[in-house]
Amino acid sequence: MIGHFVEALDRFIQVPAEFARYEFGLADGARILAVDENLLSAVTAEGMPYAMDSTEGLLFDHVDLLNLAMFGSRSGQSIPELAMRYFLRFAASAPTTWFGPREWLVRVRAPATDPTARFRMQGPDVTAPGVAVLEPHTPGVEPAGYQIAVRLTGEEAIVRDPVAQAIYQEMLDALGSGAVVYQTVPEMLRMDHRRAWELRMADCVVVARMLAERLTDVGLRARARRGYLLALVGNDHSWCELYEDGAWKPLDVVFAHLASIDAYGAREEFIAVCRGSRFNRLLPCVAPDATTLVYLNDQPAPSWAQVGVSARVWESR
Amino acid sequence: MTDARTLIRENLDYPALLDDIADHDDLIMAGVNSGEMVRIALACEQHLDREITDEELTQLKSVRAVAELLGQSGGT
Repeated sequence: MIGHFVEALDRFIQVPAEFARYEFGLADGARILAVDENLLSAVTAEGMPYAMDSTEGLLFDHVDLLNLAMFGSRSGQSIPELAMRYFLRFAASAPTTWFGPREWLVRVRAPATDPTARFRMQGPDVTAPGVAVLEPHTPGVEPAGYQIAVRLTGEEAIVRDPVAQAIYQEMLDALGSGAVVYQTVPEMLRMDHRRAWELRMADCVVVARMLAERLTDVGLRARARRGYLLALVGNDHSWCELYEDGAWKPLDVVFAHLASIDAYGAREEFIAVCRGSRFNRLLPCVAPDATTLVYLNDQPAPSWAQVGVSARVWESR
Repeated sequence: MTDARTLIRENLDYPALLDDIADHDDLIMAGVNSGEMVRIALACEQHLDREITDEELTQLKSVRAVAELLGQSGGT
C-alpha cells in the first residue's frame, strides 16, 4: 500500500512553503488517510512535506494530507474520496432531478474549536436567479452560524458564444490532460488564482476565477460565484457565470471534469449541461469574485476550519 | 434505534458526543462533522449491502433518519 502513496507524491502539487501551515499531527493525518501512523511515517520519509515540532513531533499541512488521500488511496475509503463520491451522486440521477424545484433547510454552523475564535460567514445570495426564500435568513444560530429555508430551481440552458465555448473547453482539457492538476488548494492560494494555475494546481475556486478572468479579458461579461453544493452535507463549491441572452448562465468546468471520471457514475448528459445550466442544489452566497466564504479571526479560514453545513429537505411547519 | 446509534457511535471521532444527541436532532448542528457524516453514510451502505440513493443521502440527517434507512422501527 505504501507504494501507492509514494507514487501519489508525484501526482499532485504540494503546497508551496509560503502557503503551507504545518499543524496536523501524525494521528490526525493517519485518520484522514484511513491508514496507520507507521505508514504515514514511511511516506514522510519518501518526500511528504512536513515540519518537525519539538513537542508535537511530525506536523503536516492539511491540504497536502487531503491530496495524498485523494491521489494515493486505492481503498476508496478515505474521507476525501468518499465525500467526492457522495457529492457527485446526483450527477448519476435522472436529468429531470437536476433542475426541478427543491426545497432545502440549510444550516451553517461554526466548527467546534477554540471558544475565543471569531468566525464570520458570507450569507446566501437570496437575490440570485432560482433562489426563493421560504423562511428568512436567521443569523445568530448557536454555535455561530445561520439558517435559511430556500426553494432552489434550476434551469437547463447552453452557452452559445463560440469564444466562451472555446475558453471553457481549453480549461476543461487542461484538467483532463493533467496539464493542470485538479486537487485541493489552500484558501490563500485560491485567492491568488493565477499563481495557482501557473503552479499547475486548481480546484473549483481557482478554475471559476480563472475562467471569469479569461472571459472578461476577451470582452465578455462574466463573474465567478461561490456557495454550497447541497448533498449529504453542504460542500463549498464555485463556478463561473456568463451573461448571455439577458441571463447569467453558469459554466461549471469542475463538475464537467469530475463527471468525465467514470468512477462517479455520472451520465453523459450531465457533462453537456455543465456548459450553461443552473442546478437545483447550488446555493450561491454573497461572495463577489468567489472570495472566501468563511473567515476566522478576520483571516480566510484554513481548510481544517470548515463550517458544518446541514442541508435537509425542508418541511414547512 | 439501538442499531442506528451503535452505527453512528462507531463512526464518530468522539463517541461520547452521541450521548447528548436526541433521536430527532440534526447531527451536523449537534457537532458531527462532514467527515463523520461521510463515514456514517458509508457504514449505512455496508449495512444495507447496496449504494444509498441521492434522495436517501439528503434525508440522512438524524439518528431517527438513519434508523429509518436501516429499516428499524421506533423505540430506543
